[in-house]
Amino acid sequence: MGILRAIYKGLMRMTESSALVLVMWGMVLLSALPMAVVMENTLRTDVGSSLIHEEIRQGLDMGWLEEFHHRGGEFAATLLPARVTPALVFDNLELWFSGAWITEYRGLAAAGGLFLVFWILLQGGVLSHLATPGQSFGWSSFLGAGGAYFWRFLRIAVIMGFAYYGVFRLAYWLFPVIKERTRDLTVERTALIINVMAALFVVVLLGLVHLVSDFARIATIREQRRSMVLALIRSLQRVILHPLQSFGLLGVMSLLLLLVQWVYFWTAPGVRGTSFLALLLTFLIGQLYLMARWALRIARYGAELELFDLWSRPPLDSGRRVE
Amino acid sequence: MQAAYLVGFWWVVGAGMLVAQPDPVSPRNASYTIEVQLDPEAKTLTGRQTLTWRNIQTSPTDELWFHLYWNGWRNNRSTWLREDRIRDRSDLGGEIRPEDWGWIEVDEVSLLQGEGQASIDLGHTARHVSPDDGNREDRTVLVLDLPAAVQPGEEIRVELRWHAKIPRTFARTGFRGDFFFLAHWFPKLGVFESDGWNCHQYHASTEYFSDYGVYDVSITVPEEFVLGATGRQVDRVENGDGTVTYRHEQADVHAFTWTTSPDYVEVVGRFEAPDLPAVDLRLLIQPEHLGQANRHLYATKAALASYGSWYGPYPYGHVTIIDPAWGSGAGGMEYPTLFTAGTRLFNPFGGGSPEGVTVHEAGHQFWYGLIGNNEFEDAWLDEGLNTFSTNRTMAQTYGPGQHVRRFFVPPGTKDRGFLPLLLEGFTYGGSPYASRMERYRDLADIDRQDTHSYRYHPAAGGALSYSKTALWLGTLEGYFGWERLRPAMSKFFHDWQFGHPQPADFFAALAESLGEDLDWFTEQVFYSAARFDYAVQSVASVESELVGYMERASGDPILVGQTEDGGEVPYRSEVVVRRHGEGIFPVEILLVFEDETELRVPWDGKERWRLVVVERAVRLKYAVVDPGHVLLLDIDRTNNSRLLEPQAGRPAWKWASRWMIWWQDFLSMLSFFG
Repeated sequence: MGILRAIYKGLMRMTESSALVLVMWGMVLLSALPMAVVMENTLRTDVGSSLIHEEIRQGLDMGWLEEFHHRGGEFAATLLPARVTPALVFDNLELWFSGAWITEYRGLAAAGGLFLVFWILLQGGVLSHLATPGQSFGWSSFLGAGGAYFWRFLRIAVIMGFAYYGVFRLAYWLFPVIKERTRDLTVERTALIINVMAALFVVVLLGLVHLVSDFARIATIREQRRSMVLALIRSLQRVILHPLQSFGLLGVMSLLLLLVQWVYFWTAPGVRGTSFLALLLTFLIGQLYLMARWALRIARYGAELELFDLWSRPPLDSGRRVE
Repeated sequence: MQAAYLVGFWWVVGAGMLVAQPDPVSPRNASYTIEVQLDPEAKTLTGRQTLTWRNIQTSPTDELWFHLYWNGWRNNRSTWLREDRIRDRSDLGGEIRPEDWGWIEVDEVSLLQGEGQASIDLGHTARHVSPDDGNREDRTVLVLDLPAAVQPGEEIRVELRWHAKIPRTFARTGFRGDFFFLAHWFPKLGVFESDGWNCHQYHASTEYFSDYGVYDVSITVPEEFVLGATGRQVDRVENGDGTVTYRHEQADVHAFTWTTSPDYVEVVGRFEAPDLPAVDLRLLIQPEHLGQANRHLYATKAALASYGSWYGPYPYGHVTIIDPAWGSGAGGMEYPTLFTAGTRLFNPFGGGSPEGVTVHEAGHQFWYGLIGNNEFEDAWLDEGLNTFSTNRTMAQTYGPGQHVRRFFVPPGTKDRGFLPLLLEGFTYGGSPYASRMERYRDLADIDRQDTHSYRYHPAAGGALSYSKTALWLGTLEGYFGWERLRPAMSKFFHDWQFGHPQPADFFAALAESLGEDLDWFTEQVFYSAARFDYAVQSVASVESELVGYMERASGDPILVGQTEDGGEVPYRSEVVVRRHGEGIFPVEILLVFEDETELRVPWDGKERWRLVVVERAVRLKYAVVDPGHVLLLDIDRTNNSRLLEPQAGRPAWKWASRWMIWWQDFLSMLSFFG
């Protein structure tokens, strides 16, 4: 089965389990809401009764924004122009790639860490539901599966956390080395190409860690594994045995995600609108984008399940199972 | 004292006539004839120069003091490197390798005598001194003893032979690959003043000071290299050994800078404007930036037009714009008739780059090129006036700049990202100078501005010299109006062209032209580190009904609850304004009522707080202190106004909901790691 077929099947699984998309979108919405309320309150308090509100209705007056950062500390400093425009998708790509969300925003890292634990709790439910097509969604089975796999998935996350850390350490070593080695380079275009190639290398490593994590979780569910070390080894083995399929799947799905982000970037309203309708529309389009993002994530899990099942199937002419 | 040379000179000197003009327009008391060879492989310069110096002071001197700027990068114990570490900024961004250091050594120095007389060796008298900090390991100032004192009006000629190691770029000077930018590259005489030599050590956060003269410089480089230099090329000789010698001349300048690289592409243009002299523009641009050539030329023309019409014309008739090589660190610097801009791939129009830096450095041709202030001591005189003028030119030419976010920052580096994205809707409102506040706010009181620039905290130079000056000049513009401030600045410009003005000269020119005593202002913004912050603390507007006791005709008090005539109850509006900072500035208090009528109350701003009480038939809507935003030095604009009924809800919701989408996306992105 080709990658495209696995993706197709993954998409089918996602549409059959569309409740998962809503659940994950809703969970993220609920997770984000408290911080958004704090941000709203911080903004409201800072602007207070000031007439400056007129200067931040359409766009943001940069002079005020600097004052806001000055008064509001680290949390206020997370309100940046790129983050309140459709360019937020690029901002997060940058944060994802650079790991700056850990090094520069301790508060965000802590909140993000909590969400990660929450996501790990839900993953068991997501994967179990996807692994049994046709099953109707039920909260008890969803949360029950989440609880059943939580500690195992948490162990995977901890182990792979070290792997991610290693990749980022490598990146933080690699790029300064490139800078040092190209210290006589006088052409920015060449420097850009070199850095893009290095970034692709890092992205492939991140992808490898990510794939191994994903397939280890799938193996845990499909094979009811208890040892996460063995699950990870098994997962790594499969990714190495099927690099084109595993990386191809991740690559195509990542491109689809980039496409969704690109569409959002070009279609989401700019910052000028001030009417209630404009604000509502902006919010709703943002939520649609986030749903699409989660739909792709769920679909990728579905496609990975398809691939995993394919790899686990005996060859047609062998007459017996491989494992 | 050089003002005597200068007063009104521009009214008689036509632009573009300078080189051809036999009469000097500057003192021309420090002139150089230099021959220099570049070895691009060894990264060295070998030079021979003849300095002709005339003592234009009223006292004699038996010494000559030279700057050896490149010795600031000789080792890590130089004053330049020590200060660079304090400001936590390394121009190299990494470890300094052995081949990265730079230095200059004077091999021979002799006093030339008249025809037939042997020159006198001065080499044995040479010694390094450190007048600023006593750092014995700093070798950026060289002193020579003369066999006899040079009397006022007397002229001497000194020949120096030297060689230098070109550094990897420090302070815009050095090499990267086969790109070379060579500024302050030769032994350069200090300035002899009435109280002795003014020749500071090289400091990390300050720049230069020197006398005007005539430069005749012959530069030998490989023949495939393109050369850009101060002045006009007057000769080119192929030497037959793969090298070529360019000869450049320029009169009435105080420095000579050059750059060479095989990659430069030459683009030429011409500035022409009514009532201003024409200027030939020569742009040496990197091939990958050719698409931005016109943006460089247009910005340069904008500067020549704005500064020329505001202050006085640019006289030299030509200027060279350099787009330095990627990563060279040579961008954004001014030199006589030549300056470096600096741009990146994909820079979007409207984001202010490369326009901002181009206008700024072109503007330095006026503030610093023509007004030769002492940048060691009073850097604000050129940087501040020029920053003010830059922001004014940018606002006038391009309108408000939009915010540009650069993406794809290589992890682990302090670089700026490769991929820019212009974000519309994010601008500095209120004033062309508002963008200067952020740098100033944090360091507002770190030093008094009248402190010599080289004694500023090394991190404070930008905040004080550039930003603070621009903000207080913008404040003066708001207070007096541009129609009064412009002639005042123009007067200073005309009075001090080709001279070395002091701060007091600037303030005197302003006061004379404006016809007002500015001491109350300069005492605060220049001779102190006072912060300014006016605020509306509270507003209230209530029905002014009489409650409590009132007097009866009999004299006995009587309790009342209503107005006696039953007519319309007026509103009593109370506004409390405060002065949080030490700085005092006369401001206006604006009260706007619900029927949109206004009341403007002048306040001298001296008291710590003031209560304004008004009774009107309508309620107060809001109050603003300094509604015209005249006081640009006010470090908190948000507290300058207060509405009776807050209206922050909609914008707070708008930005928080948008921020929430980012935060949701961020959390969704984190699922990658789980």
